[in-house]
Amino acid sequence: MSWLKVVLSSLRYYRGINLSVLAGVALTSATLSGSFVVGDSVKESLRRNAEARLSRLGLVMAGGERFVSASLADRVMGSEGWDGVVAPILQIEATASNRASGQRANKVQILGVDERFWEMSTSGEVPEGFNQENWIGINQPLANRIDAEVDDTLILRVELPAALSRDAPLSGESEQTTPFTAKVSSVLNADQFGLFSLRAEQVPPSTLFVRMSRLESILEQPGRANILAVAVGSDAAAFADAVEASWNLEDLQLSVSQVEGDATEQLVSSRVFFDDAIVKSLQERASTVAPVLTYLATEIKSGDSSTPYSMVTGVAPNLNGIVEDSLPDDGIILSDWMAEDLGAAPGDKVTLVYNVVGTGRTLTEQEKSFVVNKISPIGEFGWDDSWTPAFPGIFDVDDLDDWEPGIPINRDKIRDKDDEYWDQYRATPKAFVSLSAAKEMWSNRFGSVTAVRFRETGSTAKLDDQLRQSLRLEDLGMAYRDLQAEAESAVANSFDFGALFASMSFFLVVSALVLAGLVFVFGIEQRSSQIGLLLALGFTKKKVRLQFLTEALILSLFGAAIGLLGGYVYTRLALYGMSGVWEEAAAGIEFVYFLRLESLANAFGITVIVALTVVWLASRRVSAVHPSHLISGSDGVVMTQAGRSWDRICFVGSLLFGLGCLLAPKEAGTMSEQGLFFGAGFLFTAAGVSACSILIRRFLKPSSVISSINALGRQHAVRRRGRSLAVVGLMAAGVFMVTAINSFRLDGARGAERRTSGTGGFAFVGEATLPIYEDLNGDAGREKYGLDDLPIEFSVYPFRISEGEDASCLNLNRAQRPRLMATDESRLAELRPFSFTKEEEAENGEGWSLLSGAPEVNEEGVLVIPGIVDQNTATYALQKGLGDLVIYETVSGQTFAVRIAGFLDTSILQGNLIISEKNFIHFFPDAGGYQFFLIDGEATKSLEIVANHMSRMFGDLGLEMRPAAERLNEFNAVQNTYLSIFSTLGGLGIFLGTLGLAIVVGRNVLERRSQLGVMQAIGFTREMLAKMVLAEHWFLHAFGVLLGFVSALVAVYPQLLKGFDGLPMGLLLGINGSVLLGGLIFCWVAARFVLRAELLESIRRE
Amino acid sequence: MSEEILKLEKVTKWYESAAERKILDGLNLTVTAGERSAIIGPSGCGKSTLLNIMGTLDSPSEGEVTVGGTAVSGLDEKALAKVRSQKIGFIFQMHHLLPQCTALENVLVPTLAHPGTDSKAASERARSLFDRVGLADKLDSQPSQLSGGERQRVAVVRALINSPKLLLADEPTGALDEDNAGNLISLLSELNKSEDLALIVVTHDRHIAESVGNIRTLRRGKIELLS
Repeated sequence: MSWLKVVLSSLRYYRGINLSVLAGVALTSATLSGSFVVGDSVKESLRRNAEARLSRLGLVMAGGERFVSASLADRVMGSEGWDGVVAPILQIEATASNRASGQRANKVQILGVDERFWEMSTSGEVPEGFNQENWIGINQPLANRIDAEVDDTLILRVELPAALSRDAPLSGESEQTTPFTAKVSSVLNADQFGLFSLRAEQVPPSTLFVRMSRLESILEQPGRANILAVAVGSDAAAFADAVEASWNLEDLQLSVSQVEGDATEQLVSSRVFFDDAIVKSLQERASTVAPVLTYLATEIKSGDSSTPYSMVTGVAPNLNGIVEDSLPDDGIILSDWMAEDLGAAPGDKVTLVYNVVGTGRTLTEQEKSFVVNKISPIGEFGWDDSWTPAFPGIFDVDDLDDWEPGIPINRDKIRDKDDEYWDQYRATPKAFVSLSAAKEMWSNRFGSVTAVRFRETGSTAKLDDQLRQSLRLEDLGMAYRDLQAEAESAVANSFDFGALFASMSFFLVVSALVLAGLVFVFGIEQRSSQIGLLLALGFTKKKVRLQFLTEALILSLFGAAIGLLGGYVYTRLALYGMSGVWEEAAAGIEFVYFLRLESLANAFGITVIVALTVVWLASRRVSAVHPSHLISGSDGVVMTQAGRSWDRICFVGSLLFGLGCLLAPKEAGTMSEQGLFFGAGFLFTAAGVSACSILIRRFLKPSSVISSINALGRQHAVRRRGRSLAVVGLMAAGVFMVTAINSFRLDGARGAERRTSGTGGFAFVGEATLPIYEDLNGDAGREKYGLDDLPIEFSVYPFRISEGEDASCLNLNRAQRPRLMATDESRLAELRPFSFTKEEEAENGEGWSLLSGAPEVNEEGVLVIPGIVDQNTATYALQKGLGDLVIYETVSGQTFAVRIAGFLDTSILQGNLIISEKNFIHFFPDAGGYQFFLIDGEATKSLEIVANHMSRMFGDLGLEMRPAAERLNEFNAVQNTYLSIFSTLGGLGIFLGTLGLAIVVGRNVLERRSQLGVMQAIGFTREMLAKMVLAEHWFLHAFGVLLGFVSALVAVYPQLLKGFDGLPMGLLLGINGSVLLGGLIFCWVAARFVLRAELLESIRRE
Repeated sequence: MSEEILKLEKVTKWYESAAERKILDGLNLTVTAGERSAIIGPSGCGKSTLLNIMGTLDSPSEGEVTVGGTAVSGLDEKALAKVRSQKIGFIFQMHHLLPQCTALENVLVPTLAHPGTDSKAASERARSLFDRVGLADKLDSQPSQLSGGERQRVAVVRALINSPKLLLADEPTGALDEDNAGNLISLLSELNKSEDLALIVVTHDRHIAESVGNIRTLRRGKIELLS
């Protein structure tokens, strides 16, 4: 005979009860392990997704807005210290439509690649037919979007890359898109880079693959690439060193030419304006350097005479024979042609009229006066057209009438002599000013130098060397990225679905444990005489409890182990749900089942510990009862005497703390406000349960009069106070959780017209694949696109975009570089759209005005600008708080930070970091045009006409207009899906709660079978007894449901303030009504079921 | 002079809920080795309370209880459990056998409260006692397989397994028919003699009390010797 044998015998003998406990523990373990493994599976799915996305691609040098020579890849491969394959890639965005199906897709990624690219795919094989020049491959997502298959003809439209930003002055016409057709040769699978993307997002982009040579030809970018890629396993530093040692002037789009008749060389850029970093580097390396700035004056006036459209050059007084030291900043040197045209002589006043660009392509006309310093003949001292850079739309046309410089040209002003000048001298400047005067007038965000003249370098190769010594490609905005490390970090820090499911299963776990604890207590109560006997036989209370805990331990170990198998089912169901009905919680990912043993061990350990704690707490009360009472079986009465003062303490404490939460100062609309109200509701639930306990004690007093059979039933309910409170508590907690949480369900259409809503009151939102450069609020822009003919008033709020990763809840990966959006904050400050949940206190105002802060240098020497972000994006995707910094790099490789100055409530701007347009163009001068639009107007419903018109007009640019509420609902769908998951799991929890109620009813009746038998013997019918049993329990159940519902209303008070339309009342009433009705039916069924037994027989047995 | 097994001195007992009513009122009682007594009294007179105090399952509000020379007031729970385990055997109106254990296992359960008990010796003693009460063939029977009288005899064996000096029986025949009740009293009397065991039987049944002999009446909280 051993202690263990007694324990095992008990486990076997009380198997009914023990199996129930085992089931409760197993359910807990299944829920926890299932939740944790959901987390593992999602992470593993994301990891595999990243693996498929990148295949064997490890590192890239991304050119950003720049193009380098594709031959740089060859040079890197041939450089010392590097022996891997380097694949050049030409990547660009486009719109694509299928001629056969008519389906169109925006934001299509086009990749121009050569054979080397395919070596890094999973299969490592070049697709069949790739050697054909007209080969076209598409990935499955694109095939699905436009319903395309092999041999279908696609029509694509791409923007021709400009030498300089189309926002830049003199950048030529804005519309530079070109269509091309492509016949699909193959549809590529994941092993063939079918999911390729450089962004850490699980939704694969739609991609079209084309031979690089063909794309170069279409884009008019011969021999250019904007990405160099190498295979996984390559050394990042070695790759960067090899690239830095291999680039040349051509890669920087620079070229050197000998200045005619001079020993001087001139460096020009096909980007027209020079990066400051290059000028600085040249000045450091070359002994004599003369920066040049040439610009277009729309008019040069002197007295009554004027000359239209003339180039004017500013240059330092060296390396040329035109400008001398003696030229003051207000002095101007005119060509003899110009002097004659104006009739000007030295000492005369001459005024230059010119356009400068503001934000976008808005032009401001300015003028500056000079005094004629001297007059020089064209053609002498190097006065020729080499001073003028290759401005698009000017340099490459034969006739002055063909000029398209990107600024308005009044052709009426052009005279015959101007045409003759063009024919004879082309773009030769007509005047020179000092470099400082030129910079003062024409410096812009794209640069302040259009050429650099120098001497003594000796050769182009030597200049390459000199530049490489002090300049890195990173300084010009080209970035080296370790894609595998980025993917690893994005996955490692991705949204934790394990924790999400565990927290959403919280109520289910609690219900399972309470149920297990309840059954276990029933088991102990059933064995109370045994406890008394063991105490009488000389066992200590500790030892008796140890026996029960040993039984519980064995049950917990077995239950937890069995639960791990159940966890498999839970995970499978969850993954199935997320691939189906709950797919909006995690769109675009193919889930795989994956578990880590650590997760199972954690779930197992937590379950056993929690189950033992519950049992320990339950057994503590029973063993506190005197053994003589246990032996005599009078435990119930004794037990109800315990803990009276605790009831009052709990009631008063919960009530006071709840009131404290309610009255505490709160910031409207913040998470802390929600937390405080939720906390208040929870504490009121606890206070309600405590109040119920106190009321039950009052019923116990002898003064209570039993006046009816129902009262008799209730009298029994109050006698079993613990059980009654368990029923009330379980129901109240369940209803509270499900009601309170469901109140956060969102509907974008509800109140969408309000400025403070998630739509900001905007009717439509649009996003374009290719930028739109025109001001769509200005007369010129509206006239150009026929918007001025529309019969309604409307405003367009355009946003610039610097592409980054989607940081919204739609992206499960942790966004490394969230997309930056910029707008004119003053317009939004005036309109006051969206709600701010939290914002910094700043001198420059509040709300959208916070963005107007200029860049400031922080303690680390980093430029910091203010930004605004959606609170969910900041909290979950970026894990940042107010005042935190998000680090970015400018196109010139300079690091800057966006300080989060304000949080927006859930809105259509989710996933983006918003900064002021002024700051944006400071850091991203090359990112021209607008790609995101909000449409506003008084007649909200009529704005559909505007949206449709814009979609038509900008269809080639891939503009897609959608109702703002629809876009908001895409984001809301994620939260709503989480709520649906919670409701499902919470509903299961409540189901367990009602099952617990049924068990309590059954237990109460079984315990009193003899008593009920006596009642039947003295004339009560079964119907009357059933009614009495029902009366014992229905009010407990109803009270629990009511308590939970009222407490939940406290928790959702902020939502109630917005009106009932903020709450899904139908759903909430439906859930709670079902719970109330279901519970009552359960009580009735349980009572009927137990009363079917032969009650009189039980008397005879006694 | 016989060894003093149990001594109650001026034992008074009242409950907090009815402090004005003393269940036991300055009660004195001495029980010596081999003594056999029956305590009778009307329902509610405090017989079970007295038995619980004698068995250290309850403590007096006032007065002193000494079991086998050990004053039990002031002893902690562990020490009291040890006193019960080593010096006292209990028989209740209901047998309270563990339904999950066999008859032999039930009898051996008290030995588990004694760490270091020689299990082999305990098993032999149990078999010997089973033999003496006529249940040698029922060792492996489940309680549900035994008759009421047999179950109560197993409960008697369980009470004796640790060789106590005092056997307290609370209405031991309450759940038995007349024949079985007579047999049980005979058995207890026999064991009283053979084991040099002090036997205290609390009963409301005068006939049973007479069978035990040495009847004491509990009245108004005090013990009076009737015979």
